[in-house]
Amino acid sequence: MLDGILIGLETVLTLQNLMFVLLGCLAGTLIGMLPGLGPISAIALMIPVTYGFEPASGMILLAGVYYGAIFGGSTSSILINAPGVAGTVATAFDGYPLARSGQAGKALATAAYASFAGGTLAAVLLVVTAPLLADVSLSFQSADYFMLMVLGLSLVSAFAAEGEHLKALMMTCFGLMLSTVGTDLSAGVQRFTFGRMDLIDGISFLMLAMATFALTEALMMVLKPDQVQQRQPDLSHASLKMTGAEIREIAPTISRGSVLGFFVGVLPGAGATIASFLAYGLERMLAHPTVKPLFGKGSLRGLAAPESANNAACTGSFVPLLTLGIPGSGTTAVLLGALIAYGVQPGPRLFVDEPEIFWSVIVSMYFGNIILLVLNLPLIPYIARLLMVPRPYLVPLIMFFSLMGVYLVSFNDFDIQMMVFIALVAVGLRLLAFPMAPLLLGFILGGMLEDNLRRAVTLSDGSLAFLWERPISLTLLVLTLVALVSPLLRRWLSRH
Amino acid sequence: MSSRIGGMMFLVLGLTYGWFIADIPLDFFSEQEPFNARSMPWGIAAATVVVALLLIVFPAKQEAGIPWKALNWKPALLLVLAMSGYGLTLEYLGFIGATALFLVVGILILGERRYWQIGCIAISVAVGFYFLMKGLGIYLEPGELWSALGNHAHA
Repeated sequence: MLDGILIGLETVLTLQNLMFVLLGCLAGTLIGMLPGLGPISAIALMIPVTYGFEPASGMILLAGVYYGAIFGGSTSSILINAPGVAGTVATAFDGYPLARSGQAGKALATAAYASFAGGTLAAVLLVVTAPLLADVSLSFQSADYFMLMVLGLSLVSAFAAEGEHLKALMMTCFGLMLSTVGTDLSAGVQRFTFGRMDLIDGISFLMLAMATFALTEALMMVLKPDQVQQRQPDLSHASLKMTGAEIREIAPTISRGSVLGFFVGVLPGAGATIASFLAYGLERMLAHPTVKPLFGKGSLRGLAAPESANNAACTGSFVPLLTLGIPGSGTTAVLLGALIAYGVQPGPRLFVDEPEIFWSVIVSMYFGNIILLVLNLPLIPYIARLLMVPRPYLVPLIMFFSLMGVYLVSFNDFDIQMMVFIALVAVGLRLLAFPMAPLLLGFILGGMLEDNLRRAVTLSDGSLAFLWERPISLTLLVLTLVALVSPLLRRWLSRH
Repeated sequence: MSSRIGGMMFLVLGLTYGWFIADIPLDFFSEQEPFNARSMPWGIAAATVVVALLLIVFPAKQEAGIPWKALNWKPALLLVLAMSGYGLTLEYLGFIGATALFLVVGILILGERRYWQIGCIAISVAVGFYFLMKGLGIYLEPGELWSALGNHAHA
């Protein structure tokens, strides 16, 4: 293993490859900040640039782009509540309230530190456990995936305020409903499209995220101008420093988020989104009752947990890609395409046949994390100046970037009208105090949930015994029941 | 109160959703399968109705009322119309024209009256974003109006 790390260091530590990591991180951050352009788009846009490179150099640049785009997405989530990709939705829960309370610099710095720590811990875990985890991830079957997703959905109560658990569950059901709109790919039939061609491909995640978060927030700024008064952000470099107490507060959170994120990221199909939601839920569940009300209102722990988890999950998703040749997420699928375009076939033989690529990707991922921190920390006060734009200008600009983010994907005017309609419904629901995050979680997991349930039910010939027959699914079932019953139990105990 | 209003709305939504499940076409073989295109929607409809009923029966405690009259409805609704209008004008006016117009209207709705500054910002954002997208290889339509004026778009 030590030899492998040395091979990786030897490949990466050339001036040319270090420049590629730097270029990748910078390009990824800038592209990732634009709503609608996440890591997949960023990598896809940069692949043609790398065609003339050596495979190792190409992968080094793309790994930098990957991490840069994730951090860029977190930046737009924190500053304008516009999570351009699913993996940074949970970042907005506490990042945006922090930015609104004048601590944009601290929020961005916390995100950078948590991402760095998450990436570092995950890189160590990747080196140590990659071959073993490849076998474990293969032992997960449809029933286990189904239960993992049900557990993720049942943790929605973590996003709800005390006594609002039913509202959170209601919104999850609404998200699941929206996920069934469009063509059912396994049967090839249309569902809830009402004959409209525009709905055949279903509702896009980006449209829903932009409508329910960015557009809704912009409209709320106008509807309740006094209540969402922006405090002047502290943009000094000193504001980026964290106190000893703050570091002690988020250190255990980052460790937990990183380990959880890494292991969830290893599972093909799970990825950064589930990891960030699970980490947030776990952190809220573990929080002391006096700290818990701060979640969703600007808690540093609430920001550090999803940020460390989504970065660690990105690293974890390289395990199935590099060891099995199975892409664990959309982004790693694009990276797989890039590797094949370079003439490299990932799989169990990659480790033996082309160790310099295997190890240089791992080492460059770590260097990408270091460079991202060094590059972005000094830039944070300048990035955060975005919040000083006066509201009459900021609100239409947020609306424009959100609408464009969706339009640029489909080039369909119908999507804009649909988005405006969804934003109107979301404003109504927010006024009735229904949380938006469970809606998105239900929507994201709906498709995967149905696919895995279909497979599990078909394999067990219609029986539901798969829920408790396998130890993994049984464990997840028990955890789900605990997550669903514990809020009710707590409510009952507090009354007696 | 908001729990009950929301619960009623979702109950109606869940029942309507359940009603339209019957419209999902199934062939003979699919109908015999243990899991088909209607199975998941049935589960979701049932869960929605159950949770909505629970929400009506056990509403959240200590809910703050909604200050309907204190809300700034007029500019918010005008902005909604402006966004919808932006979608409608994109094809005709093209990206730069429709974007600049949307930004000018949006900023005016929110009370800004420095016309020269508004025009400069709107045009620079629209033109700047157009060239940024062009640099990234994303083509944005110049619009029917541009073509009608005798110009031809180059993809």
